[in-house]
Amino acid sequence: MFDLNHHHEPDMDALSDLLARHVDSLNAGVDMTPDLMREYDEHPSVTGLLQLSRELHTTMTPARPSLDFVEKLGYELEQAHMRRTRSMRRWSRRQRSWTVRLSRVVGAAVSLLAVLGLVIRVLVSFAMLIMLIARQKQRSAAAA
Amino acid sequence: VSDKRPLAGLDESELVRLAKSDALAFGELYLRYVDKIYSYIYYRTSNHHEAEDLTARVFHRALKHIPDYEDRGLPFSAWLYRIAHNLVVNWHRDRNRRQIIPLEGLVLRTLRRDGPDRVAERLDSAERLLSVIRGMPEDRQLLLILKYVDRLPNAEIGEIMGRSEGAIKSLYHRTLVALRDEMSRLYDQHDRDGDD
Repeated sequence: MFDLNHHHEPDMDALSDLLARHVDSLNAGVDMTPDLMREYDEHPSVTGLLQLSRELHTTMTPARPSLDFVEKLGYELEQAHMRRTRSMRRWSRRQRSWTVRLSRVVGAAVSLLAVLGLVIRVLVSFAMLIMLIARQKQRSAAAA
Repeated sequence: VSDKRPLAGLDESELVRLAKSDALAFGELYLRYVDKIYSYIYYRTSNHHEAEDLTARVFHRALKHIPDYEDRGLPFSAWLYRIAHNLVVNWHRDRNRRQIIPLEGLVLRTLRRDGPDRVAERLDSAERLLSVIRGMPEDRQLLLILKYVDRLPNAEIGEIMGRSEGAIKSLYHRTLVALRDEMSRLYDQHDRDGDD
């Protein structure tokens, strides 16, 4: 069935394959142990490992948590998930409102600066006009 | 069941993507893996209450970090087992609780078909076997749990443990040999003690 030489000590790879197939068949519900034990009875090292594998299969059965525990933890996780999602949404809303507020302040500051700039320009132009008129009056007074 | 678990038909990567923002999807992942994670922790701690406590912590931690989870093609369970492994290692280190704790509850369930005289004998042998397993290196314990308790094929165990299928086969072989040697040493010692 497997590529093991029954008259010599089996090589490592062949034995690894045999053991892997043996445990997979146990997990699939097929116990090949008695047949394999007969087949490899000249190799106590092999039969010992097969027996041990079957013992592990019998001993290491799945341990299941109680239904109460599963339901209670499931409920806790659901609540925690909802709390986290809510706080993430709140954080994102807060971020959004902070961004809007900041953009309003920046917009108002820019508008104020623009108005101030305009006023200064008008005042400067007005002052320059007065200076020009005054200079022209001085010139005409000097000519007279 | 499909009414109660509307996302049961979704494949794992889709479910993980949804679970980052959807409680129902996270709940489906939880239901798929809670038994396996509990089983793993139970075999590592041998204590029902600790297994429940650590299982709860695994899933709370997973919930906290799932937004940062990156799908790298590995099974989601590999990530959960890694969280469970880290918690179990910390549990052993912090509390120094490696002493043997009764396993009768677990072992007795597997022995119900035997008569009372055989039960005591096999209980002793099963406890001895499990206590030897608990003394083995972490990767070997994980391999035995994934192989015998979760009954996974080598390819999937390889994905969880980050090794090739061939490496898992070879590790399994070496683990069995080490376990057999340790068991024979224990039985020899037991016989010698009996003779004295």
